[in-house]
Amino acid sequence: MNQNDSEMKHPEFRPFNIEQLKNIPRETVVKLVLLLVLALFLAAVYARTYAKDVSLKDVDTRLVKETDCEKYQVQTARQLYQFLELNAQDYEEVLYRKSTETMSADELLIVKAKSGEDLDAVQDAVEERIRSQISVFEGYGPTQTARLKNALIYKKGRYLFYCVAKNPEKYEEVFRRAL
Amino acid sequence: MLFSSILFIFYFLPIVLAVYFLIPARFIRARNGVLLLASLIFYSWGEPVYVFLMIYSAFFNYYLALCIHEEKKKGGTGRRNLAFAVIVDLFILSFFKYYGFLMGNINHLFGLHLHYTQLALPIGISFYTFQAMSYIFDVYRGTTTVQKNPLRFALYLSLFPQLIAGPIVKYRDVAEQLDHRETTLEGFGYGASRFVFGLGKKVLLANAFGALFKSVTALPDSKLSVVTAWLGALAYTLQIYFDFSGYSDMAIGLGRMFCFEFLENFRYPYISQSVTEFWRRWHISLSSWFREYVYIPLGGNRVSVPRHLLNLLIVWGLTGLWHGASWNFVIWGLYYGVILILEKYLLRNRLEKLPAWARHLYTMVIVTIGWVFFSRDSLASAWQTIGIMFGNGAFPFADGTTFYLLRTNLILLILGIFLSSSRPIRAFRRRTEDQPIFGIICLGGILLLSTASLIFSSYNPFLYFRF
Repeated sequence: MNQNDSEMKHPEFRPFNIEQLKNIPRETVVKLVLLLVLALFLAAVYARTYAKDVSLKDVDTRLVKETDCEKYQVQTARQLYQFLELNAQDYEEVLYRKSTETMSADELLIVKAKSGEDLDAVQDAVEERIRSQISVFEGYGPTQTARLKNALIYKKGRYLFYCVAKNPEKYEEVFRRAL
Repeated sequence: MLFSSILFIFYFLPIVLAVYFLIPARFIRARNGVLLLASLIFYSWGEPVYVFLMIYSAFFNYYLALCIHEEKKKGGTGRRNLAFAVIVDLFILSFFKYYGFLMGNINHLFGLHLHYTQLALPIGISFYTFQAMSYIFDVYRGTTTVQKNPLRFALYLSLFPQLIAGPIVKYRDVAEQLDHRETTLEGFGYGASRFVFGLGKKVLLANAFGALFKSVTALPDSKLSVVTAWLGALAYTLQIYFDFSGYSDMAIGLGRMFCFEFLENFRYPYISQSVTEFWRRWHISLSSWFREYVYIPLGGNRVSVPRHLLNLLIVWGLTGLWHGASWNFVIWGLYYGVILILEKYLLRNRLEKLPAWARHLYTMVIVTIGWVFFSRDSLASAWQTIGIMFGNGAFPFADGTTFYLLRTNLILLILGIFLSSSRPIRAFRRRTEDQPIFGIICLGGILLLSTASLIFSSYNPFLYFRF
């Protein structure tokens, strides 16, 4: 069956002709490509930033259930300020657990900020905390120093996760799944 | 990367300057290449992902300006390409800046609980988007020639001295300088001294006023008083001036060091004797952008009085919204819109009859109240603070905390008020003309003190980075 037969049987059917594409002005093609690139970029940024709206109480419940994090004591807003100079009321929720042993640098902090932009200040405070803790433990606490140097900081959406522990990945894994 | 950081001042800037000036002035393309590369590194230091967005914006606006130019050459108006460019530019800005605000308002208005992710705002997006749009408008109107070299346009948009917090440089103001710049020792010296002054304003003054403001806002209600609330508002008034004008000084200074001349962004706004005058002196590049690309196309003041009032409210509502996705900023913008209308139609003659000190006091009270909307997280918090400032509620006029704060910050406040006027800088210039060594000692001292302060202080970004 040739092309004319097809058109006679189905008059509304016009077979696609690749030649028609060549008639689209180059300017229109470039604009379409630009829009496509923008859409892909925005989608990728959104997907990268997307995090479920989860209460830190729920995250803590999961952490307690699935890990041994109960060995770290929940700290108060005052202690958060004392150790990290962060004001708890500046953020939507904060979960701060810390080892009760004096000779341990282990701690776990999760901040749910009011806006993603607020996390820069939190990250800065955390990095300062790590630096200060390294200077405290360096020289007589090689294990703690090594843990501090392997501290995990992870940001997603409005959340920041920070952990110093023997295996910080196991806590991070629970946190990631919670989001 | 922050201008006011050890990394920038002692590593990034000297390396870029050395590479830039090692290339002879006649090789302007190579110098431009160094600046473009440095600008991309500077931006991507904190924004490794969003640097792509800036590159995209540069290419998109470069290409659309070419389309407008070609269409006009063929006898068309270029209007469709202009509309396409403006819509895409505003869409990108809105996606990052206003999406969360919009969703929050939809949830609030309709009682919904739609989950949304508030994206981090790419640093400087409001500034470089407005720069790109000014170029597109100017090409459409034929007030500037189209740039045919994409790298040169990318350099205009990404030039690191003014990339993050302005001034909003119009393309036509630097078009010639992209092709030809004169290198002089005087220009470099002026740029370096301007940079050091800006650094001092930010590190030594703005951060100190920021600490005072923070200590007032951290007070519980039981320790607040009328004077303490005014003290907090005054601290923020001085903080935002020294912070933003300090950044502008650094930007203009860096520009001069690389042989670019940017227009002034501040002209001692706190010496103004009316709010109208204040807005001729504060963030001049933003006011002139809105006047040229929004207010005048709307008809400006060559329309009926009701239409003129509407034009002013539109422009000031948009100015507020430009500053941030929050009702605080919209109200702040409209507050100025209303005051400027009142000054134009009702108060002008009455104000002129007042003594200079009374006009100045009136302006500063209006401006200080305005900054309360700007500094607070929510409208409720702003209204509450304004209420306390005017004695609404059971707050004492002053208490022990007030006197403690005044005692410990009085010298700082007097210094801040004095340095926000034009007198000290004029006196400095006169003295250094006669005794250059005096200028070198002063600048060296500011640099030394600022460096010491930077070493011991924590992360302290510029307030205008939020916008």
